[in-house]
Amino acid sequence: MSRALLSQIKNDWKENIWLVIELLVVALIIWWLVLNILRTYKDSQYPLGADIENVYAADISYIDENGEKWNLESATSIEECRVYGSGLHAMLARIRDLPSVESAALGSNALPYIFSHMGGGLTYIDGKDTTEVYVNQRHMSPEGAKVLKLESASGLTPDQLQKILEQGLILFSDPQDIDIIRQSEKYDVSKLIGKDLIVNGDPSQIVKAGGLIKTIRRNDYELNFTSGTAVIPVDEHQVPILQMNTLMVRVKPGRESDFEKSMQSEPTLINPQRVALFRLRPLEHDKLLTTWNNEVTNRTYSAGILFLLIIVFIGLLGTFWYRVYLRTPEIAVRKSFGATDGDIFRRFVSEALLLLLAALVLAICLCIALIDKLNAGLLEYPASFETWEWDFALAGLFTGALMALMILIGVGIPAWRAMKIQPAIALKEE
Amino acid sequence: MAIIELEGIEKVYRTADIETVALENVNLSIEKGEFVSIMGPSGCGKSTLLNIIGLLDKPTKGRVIISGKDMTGLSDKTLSKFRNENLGFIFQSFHLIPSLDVMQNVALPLTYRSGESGSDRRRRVKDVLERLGLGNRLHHLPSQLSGGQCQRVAIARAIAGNPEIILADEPTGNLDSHMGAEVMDLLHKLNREEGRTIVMVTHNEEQSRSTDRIIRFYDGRRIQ
Amino acid sequence: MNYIRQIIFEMRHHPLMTWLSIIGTAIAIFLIMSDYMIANIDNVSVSPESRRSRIVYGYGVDIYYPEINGSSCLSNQFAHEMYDNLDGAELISYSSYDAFEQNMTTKGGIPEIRKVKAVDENYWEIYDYNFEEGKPMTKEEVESGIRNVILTRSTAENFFSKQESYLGREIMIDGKSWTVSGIISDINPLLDISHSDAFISHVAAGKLNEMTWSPYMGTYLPIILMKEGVDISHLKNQIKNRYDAFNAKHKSEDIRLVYHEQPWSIRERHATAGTNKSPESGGKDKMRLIGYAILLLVPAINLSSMTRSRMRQRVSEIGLRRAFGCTRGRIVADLLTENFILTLIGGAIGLTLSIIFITCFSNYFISYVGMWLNSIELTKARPSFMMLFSWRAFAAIVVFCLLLNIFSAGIPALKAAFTNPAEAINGLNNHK
Repeated sequence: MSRALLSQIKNDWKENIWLVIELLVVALIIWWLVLNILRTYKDSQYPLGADIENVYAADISYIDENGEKWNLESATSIEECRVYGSGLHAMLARIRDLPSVESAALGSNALPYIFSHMGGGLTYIDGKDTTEVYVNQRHMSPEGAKVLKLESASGLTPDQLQKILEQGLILFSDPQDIDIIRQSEKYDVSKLIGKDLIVNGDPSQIVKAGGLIKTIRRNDYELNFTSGTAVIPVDEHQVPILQMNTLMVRVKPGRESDFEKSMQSEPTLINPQRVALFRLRPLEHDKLLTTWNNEVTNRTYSAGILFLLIIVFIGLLGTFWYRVYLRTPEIAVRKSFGATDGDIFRRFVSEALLLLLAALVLAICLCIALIDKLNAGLLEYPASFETWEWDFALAGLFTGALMALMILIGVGIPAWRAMKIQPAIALKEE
Repeated sequence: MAIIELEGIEKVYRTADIETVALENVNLSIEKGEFVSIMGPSGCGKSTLLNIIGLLDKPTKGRVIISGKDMTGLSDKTLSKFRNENLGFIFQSFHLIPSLDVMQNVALPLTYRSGESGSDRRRRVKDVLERLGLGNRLHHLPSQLSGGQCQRVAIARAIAGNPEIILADEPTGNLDSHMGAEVMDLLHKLNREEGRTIVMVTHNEEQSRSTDRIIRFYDGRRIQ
Repeated sequence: MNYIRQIIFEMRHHPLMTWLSIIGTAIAIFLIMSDYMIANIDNVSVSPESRRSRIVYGYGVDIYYPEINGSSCLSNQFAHEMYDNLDGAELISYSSYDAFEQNMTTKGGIPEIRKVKAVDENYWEIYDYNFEEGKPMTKEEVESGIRNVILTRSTAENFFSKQESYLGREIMIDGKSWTVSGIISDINPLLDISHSDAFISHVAAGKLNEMTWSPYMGTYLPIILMKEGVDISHLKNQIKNRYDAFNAKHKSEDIRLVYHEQPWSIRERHATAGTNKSPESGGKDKMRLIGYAILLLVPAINLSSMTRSRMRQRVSEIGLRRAFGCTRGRIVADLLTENFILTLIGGAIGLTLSIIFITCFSNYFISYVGMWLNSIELTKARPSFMMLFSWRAFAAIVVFCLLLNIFSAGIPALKAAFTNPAEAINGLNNHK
């Protein structure tokens, strides 16, 4: 990089100042967009707590002899419950028998991608000390551990987790699992395993903790959700099973269409014993629905970045094309005095990269000056500064690299043309 | 009666650190119907003088009087109108507009005038071009013409608006001697037959001797 | 004519610069128009929501009892209490908040999930559904609770074999038999409030699903058609007064309603639905305008540097025109007009691109905050042609082009016009 290059940049300052402003504006916008995408990407990398691949779900509804809706609260006799209960068992047995099915279970608020939240506390009283863990309560029959492939926090298999649930013990997770808000002191929840816990502050509801799992999130993008998860087992042979409103089925890999076909051909979807299934869908559908808006945002931001880069590309291509045109005699003279093709090419490209550098330095200065405002308002970023800072730098690097690439292409084309100038012809024309 | 009068014209170019005097106390009077040539070495200020006469440039000091009208301090609009109606320009490098064809180039002064219908305008332009022997080139683009033809188009353009004064800045500078002579003939013809006043800047002694009067410049000053 | 000739000449002789200018404009306009048209879907009035500007929506309750609070839609009785007899309202409909998903089938067929909306008789007057067969429900029909259903054409075609008339045929909804009493044309799912596969009487629906579950809460949403010329704020004031009166009356019981500036326009509804927040007045629109300004500024800088280079190449021509009597004003006007035509060409390309883009891919870019679509509708929902075209969109594009033109060509044109003609002719500027 020579002094001559700097003075040439200075001589074109009017044009360059606009280019720097343009690069600055674009760099700031892209930076912000990349930061947001990066942030959502990082959020989506936290474990979901369950594996939804090959899992289907359907809503269960109970219909009385008049064709009206029935529910457990309106039940008038044990006999009535028995009718619905046996219908439910028969349906479940038939589904488990399907050759395409791996496992099936019933649940209520059990699935990820449901936005209801049965929030409540699990309280442990140890003499005077009271510890409360806030959890989203998910009810399911024990086989649910296998259907959802619940993730153990202590290396247990889904089968082992199912055994724990079969013993009537609950599984729960640490609300600090999703460590987006950094908490200064972490409470070791594993101490609670094997202890009696009070549910929702109601002393008549006592459960025993059997194992630790990872939090089942409601959405891959959900931020700052401070609830953990409690998986509360429901015995398939007890009456409360009639409160379960969801059927979940894990299908053998590659047998999805078999499963769908056999479910459609079952004449028993509306069961003679008045248990009806509807809204059968792969859980991927629920995922699509609940993550849609986040993905729209990501797509919009990505498209924005792409188009801004194209605009920058066009602008630099045009400006430098014209510069090469203006400097043709100069280039010809340089070449006739011994400049190589590479010298010429590098000269134009480094001119543009210097402008980008200037814009990026300005962008960094602006960001540092405005960092508190950005932190508070614009980004709505709940994290502490230290995590923020790294994302910020990473996004900045990525932005710089993207723009440098665009500039290399945009300026490279005219620079290539400049390189190919034949001094004899160019000078003669002049 | 003098059609062009310059009184105490001075032109100074200033940049941040240098001051260049292009013209210094120039007094000049040109009669109506005269064919005057201005001569002098490069950089002596003759083109600046021509620009000042043509109202394209303003003197730093002094007065320009054309057709008895003092041009000092008039608005851009008035000057534009005056140029349009009274002055015709011919340049060394023709300066035809490359995107317009011959007809449109010649019609240029007329497009900035009102009160004349399009068909009148076209007829007039065609007349002028035919008179200059370009009747068969009406719709050619400048890039399709030879240098001599280009200059003839430029002359046609200069007279299309029927101005009293024609200002020519080295009109034959870019032409070979044969074509140059042709252009000079044409200018003489315009001067003699149509009575137009012509002020021409030139380097060519022979051409200047054929004009009514030679004004010599040296270093921003009139020496003859 | 000459402007166009000039543009054609430039395209031929400086193809790269001219095309880059056009493409640069096209991309900027494409970006802005795509976003604008997607955002404007809320403002477009198409059947059955042809009177969108006059249709406003009530909100549910956000109610605080001692120690607990809750929010939901309204119970039927409470909806009437809060919204009946509004001054400035032409019609009010009390219908279900959104369509229920129900199992639907013909006898013995495979059940499929379809959307069913429970409505009253006014609903059919507020929205202009296109009845292909049958007619809207009457007041008597609605209140009798008779199990009649109005289906969309595609729903009917899905469940019944093709026939001359679908009227009087039987269809099972959640295990009960309903009689088809009307067939309407399909509704674009993006019209999320009027969209459904089937419509039934809210009285009949109440027997299938609870529509009211507490004195205040239920599934009802008041839909109000304002009289011509009435401003929404007039209704807002009345509702606010009713809320204040309610709170004053129930102060002793410690029951309190939170007023959320209802009724809402469709825009406000989409911006807030699913939350119990008041609509932010114009906040989003302001952000959008700032975004557009930036989106215009960046290409304007680009274009202005390209326009400058194009004009520098023509500087001697400009000087020449000045020599032959053209005024500065005319030079600026000519250059701007010429550039405006170029911008419009770019704008037209950009607009075409954005229409193609939106009709093909907009479903991936429309966020459904407040829109109640299922996953299949989500991937399919695209605006119809009619929903993209509006005089606003056309006015917007011309305004955007004009702005872009003034941003990008204004300064270079002024500069060109103020160049000393003598210098310009000799092309002194060319080497500066």
